[in-house]
Amino acid sequence: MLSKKRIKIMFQLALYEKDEGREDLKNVRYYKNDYVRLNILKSIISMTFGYLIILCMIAMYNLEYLITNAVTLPYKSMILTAVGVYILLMMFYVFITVILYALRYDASKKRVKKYFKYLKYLLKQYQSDNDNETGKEA
Amino acid sequence: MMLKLLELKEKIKQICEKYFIYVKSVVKFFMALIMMFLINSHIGYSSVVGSLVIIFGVSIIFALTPDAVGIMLICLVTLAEVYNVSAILAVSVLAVYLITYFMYLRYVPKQIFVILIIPFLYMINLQYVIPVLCGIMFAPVSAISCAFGVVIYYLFKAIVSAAKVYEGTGLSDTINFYNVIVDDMKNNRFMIYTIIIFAVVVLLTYIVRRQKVKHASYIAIAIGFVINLVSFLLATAFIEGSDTMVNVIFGTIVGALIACVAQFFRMTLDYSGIKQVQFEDDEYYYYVKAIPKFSVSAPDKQVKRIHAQKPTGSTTDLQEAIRRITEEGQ
Repeated sequence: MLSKKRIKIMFQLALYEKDEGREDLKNVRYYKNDYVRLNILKSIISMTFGYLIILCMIAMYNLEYLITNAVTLPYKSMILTAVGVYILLMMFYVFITVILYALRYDASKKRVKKYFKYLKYLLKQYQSDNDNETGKEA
Repeated sequence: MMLKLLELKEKIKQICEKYFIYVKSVVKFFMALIMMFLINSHIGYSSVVGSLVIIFGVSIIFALTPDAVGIMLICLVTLAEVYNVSAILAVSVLAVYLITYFMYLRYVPKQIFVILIIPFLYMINLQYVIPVLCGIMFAPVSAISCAFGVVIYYLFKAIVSAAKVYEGTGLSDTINFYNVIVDDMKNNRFMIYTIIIFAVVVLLTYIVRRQKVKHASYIAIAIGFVINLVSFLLATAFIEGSDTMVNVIFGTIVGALIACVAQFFRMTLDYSGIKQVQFEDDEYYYYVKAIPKFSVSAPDKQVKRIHAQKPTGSTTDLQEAIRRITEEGQ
């Protein structure tokens, strides 16, 4: 027997699984701390790539100067400056990542909670239908 | 007039929701076609990439594939065009794209549309509409997207102007060419001024739009465009390399109209139109297609009572006529 209410609920659940649920259900498999830490790691890696590309572009811009003065360049201060800027940039990105992904995790968890609530309700409906059927057979 | 516009809006919404898949593909095709023609007209250094086969091919692929694929194609096309000028320049442009992705777009992938559209709007002198639309439709983070979009536009502008005087194919000539472009961008005060003004307009428009005031969005649009107009008119007087006054005024007026129309026709939150899902339980397989209901605004019924004109000196009322006749008889 087709139940319109059940179909509506199943439709909403299937739609959620197709759209936002794909990301949400993957995210909530982690604990919040693990999720945020994983994204901090990804953030550091991608920021490092971006920073290296910027350094390469700066090096290419000053290539003539670098080659001409290769022997007399103050390598120590250059490296210290580059590392210092990298650390500052990393701290900034880690801060942004922590806030952003903590908020995203909370929002995902809220939606997933609602999803499981409807799923539980659906399961109860099916169980009660099964009980009714076994009751009738008896 | 307002009623007619609302009816028109509802009709357009109905068509879009009913034929969403086809409307989306057609719109994407024409957008890609326009973008390809603009790329070809402004940085068309490659005859192969600029051929009609490639233009239509890329537009069709853009229309039929997910947005990410189309965007990557457009980026590849721009790289192919620049490659024809210099391989190292193409690598530099690719480096700029990668920096944009690794340091910003990773966190807000949907902002790619804002970054992508800005250079094309610049080409048709509609750049002033962007910060206001971003303030109306997106979060304040789109100010950063505007900045990236402006930088990418001025990068290509610098490449185009340097390519006119570029000579030589040696490594040192290429490095000089690269240095000329970087210097052009470093010394471009108007670019920095534009980035600051766009950020201010995005933030202010967003703040005003969020107020609990009647017609807050339209007030925000008006404030955004006034700031745009005043700032860029000042820039024409004081900053080298800025736009002309006529372009600023025309661009601002047209931009304001577009923003008002966009705000008026802004669809409801759910843009996906018809939804199709499939699932199963123990008894059935379900193939569900949900078509959104839409309300058709019925035209207001105006009831006009037309009274018959009473002739002078006589009456149409029968009782009154009989009374008069009897009085006259007496």
